[in-house]
Amino acid sequence: MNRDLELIIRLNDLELLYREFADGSTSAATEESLGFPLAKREKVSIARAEIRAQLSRRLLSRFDTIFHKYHKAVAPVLNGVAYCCYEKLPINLYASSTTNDEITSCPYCGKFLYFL
Amino acid sequence: MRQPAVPATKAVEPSTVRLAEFLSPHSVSLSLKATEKPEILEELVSLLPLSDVDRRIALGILGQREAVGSTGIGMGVAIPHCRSAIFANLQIAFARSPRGIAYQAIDRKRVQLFFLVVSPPIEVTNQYHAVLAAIVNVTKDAHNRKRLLEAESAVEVRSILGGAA
Repeated sequence: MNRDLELIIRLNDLELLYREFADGSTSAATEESLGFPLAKREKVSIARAEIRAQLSRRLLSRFDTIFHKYHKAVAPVLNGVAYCCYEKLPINLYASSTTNDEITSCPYCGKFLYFL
Repeated sequence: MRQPAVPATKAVEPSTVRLAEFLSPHSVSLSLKATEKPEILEELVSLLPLSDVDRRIALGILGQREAVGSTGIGMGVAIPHCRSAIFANLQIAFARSPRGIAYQAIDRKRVQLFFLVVSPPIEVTNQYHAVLAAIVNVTKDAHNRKRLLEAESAVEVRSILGGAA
């Protein structure tokens, strides 16, 4: 698997976790009401910074642009369908990328694709 | 065949959740070997049908979630959980440690019952929090905890979860 793609997925997960546990969020309130303490939310920020430092400026800029626009930057692909735009991917893209060895993007919205 | 995640609908009531639907018999371990928290997470994740890369990513985000606050909710129960783009659908794994494991639970007691809950960031039925709530509700009941500690098979575990949710 492409190392940068793995970092992008991990960063996407962390950005979502960061937003999920933001002050005043419904998710954070729900988790706390269920008995899950969220005392050390700053740990997520530290982990985000560590992953950001490992990505190139070009990739990070692309990630931030997509995440800012769609509130997520990675879309899974199942059976040739990208689960962001719910469109069948062009066969040449689908046929050459299923091992996640290179970074590919949805031709419709630009999200990073992860082939499941 | 794995089913895709698609945009969420309205929130689901925990009382309507059937936990057994998310728990494959292959995702049940009645005798955890691990004795430390990181090893427990590894063993739990290994119960799910994931590639090596996906396991590594899952462990990363689970570790981050635990760093925010332990998911050991007391009464000998822990519910590690996370969302990630690597998951196609909501899944549960269940594992039991007869002797109990130090897991930094909120009541500082050893944990015997572990429920791993993983989900895509957005799932079609929007049941992530409802599933967490349903597990909390099931395990609040001392009788259910006793039954889970004494269950002799994955089928029995699924029966307890299916009937009690």
